[in-house]
Amino acid sequence: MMTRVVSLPRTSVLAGVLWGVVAVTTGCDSQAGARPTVTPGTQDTREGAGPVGVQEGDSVPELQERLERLSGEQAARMDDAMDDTQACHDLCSLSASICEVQVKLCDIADRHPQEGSYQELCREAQQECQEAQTSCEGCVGEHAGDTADAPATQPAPESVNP
Amino acid sequence: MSSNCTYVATLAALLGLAVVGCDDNAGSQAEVAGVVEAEEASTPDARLQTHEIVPSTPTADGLAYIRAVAAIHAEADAPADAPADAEGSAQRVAALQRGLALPVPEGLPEAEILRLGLATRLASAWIEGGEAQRAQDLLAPMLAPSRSVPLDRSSAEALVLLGDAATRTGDDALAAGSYGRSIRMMSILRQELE
Repeated sequence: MMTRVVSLPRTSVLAGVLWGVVAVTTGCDSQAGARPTVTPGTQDTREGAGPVGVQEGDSVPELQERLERLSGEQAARMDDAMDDTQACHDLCSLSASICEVQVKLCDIADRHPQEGSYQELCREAQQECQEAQTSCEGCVGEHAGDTADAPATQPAPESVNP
Repeated sequence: MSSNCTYVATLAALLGLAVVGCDDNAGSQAEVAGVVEAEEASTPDARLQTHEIVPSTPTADGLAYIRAVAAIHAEADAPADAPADAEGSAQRVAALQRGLALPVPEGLPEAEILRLGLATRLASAWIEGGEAQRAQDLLAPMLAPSRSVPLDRSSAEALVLLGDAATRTGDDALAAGSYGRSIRMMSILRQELE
């Protein structure tokens, strides 16, 4: 069995190696390793294609300070998200209770079809139930994009107690 | 001495006349009130007056009251783990009744909500035990439409329970009125959240 090895001319190999070395040397920035990190979104007055932002030091105290600042920001965002979550939970819980009581009220009104006061209370309760459900769904929809762990997406049918 | 006697006799006569005069008047007023009440009883009364409970800085007496109420709730909770026998239920009811009998210290507006919470639990236990009329008798005066009730979920819960009790006793007007008022209360609370 014969195998055929393709052989390139020696000059071609040397030229390829040379161009490779030149390309690597030009592409690598000797400053890159020593350049400090920057925060995106802030203006950097330096020229070139480096990262945009304000220089932040890499020393331990500077890193420590940055870590504390970012931790604080994260905690604040978490608090906001939790507040929103709690507000939606309360709204939806009230909505569920209102609608459950509305059913009880209208059951009684059904026993008094000729009495306007019962019918009026039932209508009012139905309207309030509808508004409360809309409010709950709006709250959940509004905050669903803000928080990954949004609360119940439906008005949770909880206990009858408000 | 004789002038004193005359004075006392005159006073007694005047009082007697006044009492007799009032008696007739009171009789007719009672009749009118009875008719009005009978008419009102067949119509749901969904009037709702509320007031906000402003948190206070409790005094030593206030703190003692809050702790005592918490202890009552804990006591009422404890037998819940045990089988729901009549004895356990009676113990819970007794504890809650003691809680309601605690004297309320001055300067503790939150006590109104705490008392409503105790009354609601007690009424719930009575309803479960088939004593809906007792539950209604307890809650109805506390939540009368003519009275202002605290703007709080505990009030809404108590109104729902009063409606449940009235449904069982067959008082549809009271049930519908209480349910309607609880919904109005929850509606106000909902709007505050938005």
